[in-house]
Amino acid sequence: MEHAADPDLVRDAKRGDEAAFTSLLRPLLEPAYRLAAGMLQDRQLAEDAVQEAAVKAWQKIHRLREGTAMRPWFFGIVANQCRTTRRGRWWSVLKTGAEQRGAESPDEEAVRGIDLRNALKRLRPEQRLVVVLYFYLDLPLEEIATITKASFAAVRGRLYRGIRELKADFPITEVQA
Amino acid sequence: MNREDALRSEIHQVLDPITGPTPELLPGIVQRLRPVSRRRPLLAIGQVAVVLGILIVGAVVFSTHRAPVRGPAPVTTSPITPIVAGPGADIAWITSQQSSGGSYTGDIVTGVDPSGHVVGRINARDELRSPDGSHLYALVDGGLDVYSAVDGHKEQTIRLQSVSFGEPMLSADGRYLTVVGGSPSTTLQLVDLSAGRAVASTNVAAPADGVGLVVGAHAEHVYVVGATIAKFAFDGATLRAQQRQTGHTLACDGLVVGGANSAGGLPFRVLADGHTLVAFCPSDGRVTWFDLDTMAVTHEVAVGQRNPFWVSPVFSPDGNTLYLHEGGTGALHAVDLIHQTVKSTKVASADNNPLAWLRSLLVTDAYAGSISRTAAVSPDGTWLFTVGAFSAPGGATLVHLPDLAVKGQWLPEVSLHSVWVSADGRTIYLLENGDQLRVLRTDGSQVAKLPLPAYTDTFIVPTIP
Repeated sequence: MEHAADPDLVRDAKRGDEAAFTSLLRPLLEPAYRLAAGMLQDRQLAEDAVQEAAVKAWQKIHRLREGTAMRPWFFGIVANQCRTTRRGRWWSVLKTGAEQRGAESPDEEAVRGIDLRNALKRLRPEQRLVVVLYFYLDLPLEEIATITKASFAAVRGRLYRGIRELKADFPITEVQA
Repeated sequence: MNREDALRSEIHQVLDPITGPTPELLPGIVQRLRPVSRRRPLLAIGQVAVVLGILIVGAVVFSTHRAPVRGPAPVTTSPITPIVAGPGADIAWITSQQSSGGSYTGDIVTGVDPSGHVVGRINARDELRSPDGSHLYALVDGGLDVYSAVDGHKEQTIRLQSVSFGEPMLSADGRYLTVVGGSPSTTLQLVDLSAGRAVASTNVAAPADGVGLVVGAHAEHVYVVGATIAKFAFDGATLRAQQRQTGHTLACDGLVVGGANSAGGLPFRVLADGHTLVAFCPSDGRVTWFDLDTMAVTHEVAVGQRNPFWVSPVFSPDGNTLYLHEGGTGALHAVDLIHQTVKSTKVASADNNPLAWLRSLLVTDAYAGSISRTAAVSPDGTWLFTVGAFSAPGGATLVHLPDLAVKGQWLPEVSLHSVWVSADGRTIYLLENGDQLRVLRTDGSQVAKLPLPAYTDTFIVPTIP
């Protein structure tokens, strides 16, 4: 589980110290961007979402309670921003619709990649969020539960359902170590 | 490399090219911080000034036209009519989730009686409670454990076919239990609990993910409801596929979002006519009527909700009304399931904090989680107890259901997230943030306050599909 944010930095940030806030934020931007990219599957949208989330975090920093870890709190804001982005840009549903395989037969690995990407897109947003946090950001389920404000059981259920939906669309090859 | 690692590796291979190198984000963010931080206090001050002005004018007008508001009179919610319940039905059973190395390992389930004493503890997972409240059921590998709700002792283990991700469900009379799940193909298993054995099983084929729904005194029909609906006939010995409905069926592509007991209850029920299934979808707030005979959706209504998973569904004891309580806003919708009408009102926090509504102007929340059990109906159907200001104090609100009027409030300074009423209606159990349980009588007097194991989740309430 993530450690609590530096209390001195949090206190200074709450007083309006931008440098303290950016110190808290800096180590989180790279994984936050990966989270947004995984959710939105679009670099520009991901960049915008993280920037927007950072501004919202600044506006809400007074709500960060003492002893609370910064990472799940900020990732929760990023996840919400991704949802807002998806809702606001309705046309992106068309844009991010399932990719077609090319007329020419690509190699098997490329096909599997397209299939998996399409399967990820088809996941419900709450399932995709859990899948991205667990498999792409390698976060523990406890922290994912904090980020998603869901119970441990709900997160576990979403993850299993997400995996099952991915498996239904994408045959996973058992790889021997 | 195991399957999980293989999938992780594949997901990295797919997403890494999309993500690419992380762009330089901080300069753009820093640029946006200053103007925001300067404008914000002025904006907030302006908003508050406007609101205060409105409130002052409103208060003057109000005071000249209305008598002073008195505090709520003492309210008792003792039941008018007794209900039939089994032994242990007044004991609350509460789950606390356990984990090891970041992985869910099961629940500690604690039983607390109306005097506030712990009567037993169970280690289990995927729990259900019988409709009469007398037994608890938990799936285990290759079986079903049956516990007494009186003290939590294990009465028996019923052997089942081993399934992965099994979804258990009880029949309305508590005689039958179904388990849907398995790998690679989905299996429906029907268990006769009175006989203590599995009596039939069949391959479902589709839907891959669903809940078993038993209809008829002798389980004459069993439906598997998921993204599609499959209907099976049971002749006492075998299950036979009878009909299959594909395509759009229910709003949520299934009956339960987030597990069988995710709402601390169920978001669906079969009406007294025996063939109308009503299901609430917590994702989009739609209530769907589905005719199990014709296998078709017959009606749908949508209630407004601020966010998915904010609304806690609870049925009236006669099953004719569905109450939908939105914990974050205090909105309450009473859906008449017979006449298919909706009556909406607002309860709870708005009455206590005159500025509460202001929050909705300044704050946009999203709460994409499972459903908290923020409402419970008294067994006689007269009272609704609601909680749930999402980590904010607010206590419990007593709503008189015949007129949907707020009649009282308990513990207004306490942050509560779940509520359950005992089968006799004389004890109200409230889960408080911080893994605390409060036990109250119907006059609001507190019997006990006790700590529970960490990560307390919800009540295991009687399952009445």
